[in-house]
Amino acid sequence: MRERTLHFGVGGGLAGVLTEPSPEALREGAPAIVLSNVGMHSRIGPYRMWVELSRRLASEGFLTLRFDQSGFGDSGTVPSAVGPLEAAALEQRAAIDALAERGATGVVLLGFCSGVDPAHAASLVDPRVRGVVYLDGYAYPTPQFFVRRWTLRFLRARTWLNAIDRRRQRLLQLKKGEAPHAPPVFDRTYPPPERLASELRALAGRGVEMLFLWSRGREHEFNHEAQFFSMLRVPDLRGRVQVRFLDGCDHLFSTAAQRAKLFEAVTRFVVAKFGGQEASAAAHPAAVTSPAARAR
Amino acid sequence: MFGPAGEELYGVLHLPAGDARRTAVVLCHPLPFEYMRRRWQHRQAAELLAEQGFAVLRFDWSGTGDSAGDALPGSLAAAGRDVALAASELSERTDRPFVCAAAMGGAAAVLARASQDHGFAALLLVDPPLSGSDYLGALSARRAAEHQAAGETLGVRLPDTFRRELESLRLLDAPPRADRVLLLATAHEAGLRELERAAAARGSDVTLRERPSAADPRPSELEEALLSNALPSEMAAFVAAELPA
Repeated sequence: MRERTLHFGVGGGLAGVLTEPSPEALREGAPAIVLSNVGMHSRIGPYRMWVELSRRLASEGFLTLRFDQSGFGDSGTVPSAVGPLEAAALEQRAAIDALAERGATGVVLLGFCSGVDPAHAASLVDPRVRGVVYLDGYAYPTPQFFVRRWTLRFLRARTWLNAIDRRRQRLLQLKKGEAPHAPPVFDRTYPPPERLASELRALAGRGVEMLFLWSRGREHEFNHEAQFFSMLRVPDLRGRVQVRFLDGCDHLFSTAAQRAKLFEAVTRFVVAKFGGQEASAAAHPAAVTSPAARAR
Repeated sequence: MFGPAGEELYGVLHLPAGDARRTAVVLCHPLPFEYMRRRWQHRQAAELLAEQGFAVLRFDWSGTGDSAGDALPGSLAAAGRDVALAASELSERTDRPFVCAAAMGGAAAVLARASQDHGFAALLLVDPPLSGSDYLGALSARRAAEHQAAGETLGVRLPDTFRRELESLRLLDAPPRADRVLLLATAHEAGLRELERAAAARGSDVTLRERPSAADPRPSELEEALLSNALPSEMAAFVAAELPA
């Protein structure tokens, strides 16, 4: 395995690190994996998890690029005439271009939390995307979600302890004359579920492999695997996509054991779907090294 | 990337703007516990120092960030070798023999320890914890016990020797050593005044600066780390004022 820095995109303003498998481990014809920074974190990822995952995937034979979006980490601020989401999606495509120039036959985009937005947008328009992994992506409540949520909450001692703690904190705030809630730092708008369902069907129709992961840290909006199919009304995608609820993991995967669970889920998916190189490449005729239309 | 094959360190070189100074600054990135919140501050500090005419190399310790390795160096002495390697790389690339090594928080304590073994011309230490055990204890206290995994501190597993040495580190007993020592405190604490005296007693020319804004309402830690450039600006101004042109 070898790592080296990479500058790409407009004016080389985007910074990343390529993790290359050893020649013996390299899986010819397999897609490269693209990771990018999450929120205001750098491409290292929370608790360095993108570094560890990159090296794990490289040991399995997959070329991996982790990069910082414009204005984050070590990337410069690349001026853009389009909105933030479109600009971020173009940066994902610039990463795909950079990998294609190095011989990658398509990519798997991994989006985490708000990073799902640009990964999803790029996957819809770029035929070189052969797979996507959405971690703590979009979720919509269903009746079954609420039944589970309130049943589980009622039965957990932690729920009651937290309620007492919140009450205590609120009393302290009142005593200090503080406002009850700080305004949210980050805000996201999910696409309407009908649109997302249609887009995922389009990806499936293109042969894109999909893995949807949720941590327990997102259990306030997603709490069981079957919710995926009911919230989007996509029973036809059963067996076509993989859904995993990572129990025991918080949103940032803040212990080594939680991160190990995440790495295992992603690695298993990538190896299962793209480990058999020739068969996989043949099953994805849209995966080409030269883009049909360049992003910029 | 620089350093021996298989043990490369990741670094970013910021070249000086305008008239370059003869001092270069090697800026140690945070230890893993503080990495997520403080990395952005380090980039800002490096850019502001470069604007002041300093060549700056900021780097990841072994086993952190993009550098090679799965965990922090096996000992504080090994961590010190990372700083020495980065300083040597910086000198070679920029032809500047006068190197100031700089770090914040826990990394500043590790750098202070490294200064015992390596001859840096100057040091900038921002909020160095005086006691390693207190530092690790305070980190552990930031997360509820039920969210702590055994053997980890804030989600990070430390090599045994590194942990033991960090726990036993007492800067007042072994103060930082360099011709010039700059101490920057973001709160008015008596501890750093003691460290100032201890380092001066060992022959260093020491300057302690307490942030003028310390008495004012301060942003939250998260705002400070991710949104404010107050501390990086203070660091750059301090170094520019105190180190030779």
